Amino acid sequence: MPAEGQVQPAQANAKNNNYLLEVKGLKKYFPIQKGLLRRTVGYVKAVDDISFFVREGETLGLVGESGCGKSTAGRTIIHLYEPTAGEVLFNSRILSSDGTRQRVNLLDLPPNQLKAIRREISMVFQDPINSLNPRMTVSDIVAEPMIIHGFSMDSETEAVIIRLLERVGLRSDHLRRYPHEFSGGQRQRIGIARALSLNPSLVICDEPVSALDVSIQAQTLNLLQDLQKDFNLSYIFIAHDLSVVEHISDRVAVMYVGKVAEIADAEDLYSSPLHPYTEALLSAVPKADPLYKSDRIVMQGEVADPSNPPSGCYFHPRCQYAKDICKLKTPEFRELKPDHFVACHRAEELKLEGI
Amino acid sequence: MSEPLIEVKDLRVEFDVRAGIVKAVDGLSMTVNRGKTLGVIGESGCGKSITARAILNMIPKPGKITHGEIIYHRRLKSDDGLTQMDDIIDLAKTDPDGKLIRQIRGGEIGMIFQEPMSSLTPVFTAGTHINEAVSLHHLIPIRKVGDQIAEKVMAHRKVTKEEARVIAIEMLHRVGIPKPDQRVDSYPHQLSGGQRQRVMIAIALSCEPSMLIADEPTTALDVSIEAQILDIMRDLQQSVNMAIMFITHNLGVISSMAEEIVVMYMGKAVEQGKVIEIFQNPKHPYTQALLRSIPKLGKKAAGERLATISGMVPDPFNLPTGCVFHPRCPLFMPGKCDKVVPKWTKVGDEHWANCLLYEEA
Repeated sequence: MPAEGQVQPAQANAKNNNYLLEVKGLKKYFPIQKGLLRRTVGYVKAVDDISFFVREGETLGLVGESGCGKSTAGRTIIHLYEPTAGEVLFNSRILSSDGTRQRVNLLDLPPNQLKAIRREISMVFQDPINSLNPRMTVSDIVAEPMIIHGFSMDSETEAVIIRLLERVGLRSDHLRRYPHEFSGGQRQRIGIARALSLNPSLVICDEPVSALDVSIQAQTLNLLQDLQKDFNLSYIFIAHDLSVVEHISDRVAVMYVGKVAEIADAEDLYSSPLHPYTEALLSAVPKADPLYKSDRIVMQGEVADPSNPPSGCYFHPRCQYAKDICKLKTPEFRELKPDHFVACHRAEELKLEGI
Repeated sequence: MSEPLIEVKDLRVEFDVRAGIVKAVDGLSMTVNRGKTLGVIGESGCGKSITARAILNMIPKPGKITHGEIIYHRRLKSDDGLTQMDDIIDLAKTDPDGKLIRQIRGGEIGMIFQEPMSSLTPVFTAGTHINEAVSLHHLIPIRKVGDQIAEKVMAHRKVTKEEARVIAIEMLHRVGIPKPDQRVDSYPHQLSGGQRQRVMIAIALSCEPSMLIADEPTTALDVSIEAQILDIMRDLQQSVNMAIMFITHNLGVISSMAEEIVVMYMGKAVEQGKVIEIFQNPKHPYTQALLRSIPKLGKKAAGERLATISGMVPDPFNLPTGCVFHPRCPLFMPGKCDKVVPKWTKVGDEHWANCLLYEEA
């Protein structure tokens, strides 16, 4: 709804004061091209009309199976991918003249303002090996965003970098070393320091701990939580590990084939899910407790193909509660309980089991 | 009641590289029982995968088994299936390229490894990977999956090509691949990650091995597919009375799969016992720390921090003296842990730990 989606700034400020980021109807379709003339024969609907918000200082977890579009969503929000439709409203500090936050739509900003706003939104990537340039030193890597945004590499900048490195648990003598000299956990710390170098207010973490061993994972999660407090950061935390997401998130969004199935407060979502997919996902996770025995719901088949999704609700072929309406009509994404949004025709009547 | 199938005794595997000698496995002993599942857990670099490779006598160069025995209690059925013959073989002493180990590998001891996409190890050259793929446990991309199963069956069982194809279709059906009679002619790239891993299981189980080594078989898969694969493995285990050595760092997976667990740290077993014992009453400080450091599903407490293990895994060329865990141990006893190497001590019913805390009691 790009046309009617324009919210008046005054009205928005009154209503959504604490929303740092609001995503409305965001879509990202990748064209499938075939033949000599590269004709577009279809679209992979990687992100298909999703809406959610992030409050200031909170962590929104984004979970789902591989290929559900969670990483694409993260990248489209920061405008690394050109979105097909939708709005990303962000309360910017930098683009306002009077020091208060100004609400802007990231997707129709001119390039110079978009660049400026990237100081406020940064990213931490999954792979701590490939996301760092092997030919740059730690100091170059962490300084790069600052230099791009017009800082000169002087002693002041270096002092900032040293403070950042110490804050993430590295030492100042690591400054001149190269990424290969570090362990996976340390490399992820370098990536985190780089993300914080411009003092952002929103950090999009794309599977930041998936490649790490459990003990290193715990250290990194603790570090992210500490930094959030110290710098008043908001996180969008993208991961497939449900227990990690529960641990770190205030609210959690569950995605399935490009759509958001459910969003709720983390505790609420895990204890009383409203969407059958959330229930099945929670039940499929192997519990680290040998006495835990339950009737596991084993989802049949595999995740639907986003270039050729099923009719109606995308989850209906794997859903044990599916009825005729689920095959015919796309369920509406609606707020069923305060702060608990779900897209399921039968959400009211089903009694689903959480953890 | 429990009958040993593989007994690893004081196994040492060393890698002689330019910078020195890395003791990848250092005095490991453990037993896999017939028809049971043994879980092996530990963080990367603890030697769990090298142990699996040692059992198959396929340690990559420059590694070598320098000490210890791997006793395999072999049971061969005659062709009519009526009589059986028992034999005891030390796998560590077999010729790694010999006929005997090639019969056992894949035929009697099957294996599933991680999805090839994520199993490339930087210490191996690309050539090693390709050789391994051809020799065993990865799918060959340019050949139909059915042919790959059939070939495996023919290498280990006396069947004709047509019979092998029938077995291949039957195996694909058993691991839950839809339309197996069509899928048998698919190439690996036409399958999804979960389906490829099922084909790997089908290949591994096609010769009805007495043991399956599963090295992080579900790490690269989504939870819903993982749940399906684990169910298939459990079902097949019951139907053919197969032992499983299940290697993983996912404590959730291990608690739902294994009866017994070995916890490894720096090439050594630090604790072994029944799953319930280890999870509810861990004795070794490393096991305790490892269990505390994972977030538990459905047990969120606001603002809670995870327990961490302080410090880092030690430099393999410069191992700490005494107990290798002492520099990171919260219960470090100065003058003791850094001097004395702990011994394997019984700490409960079928529960052992490698820690000085329990040695005197």
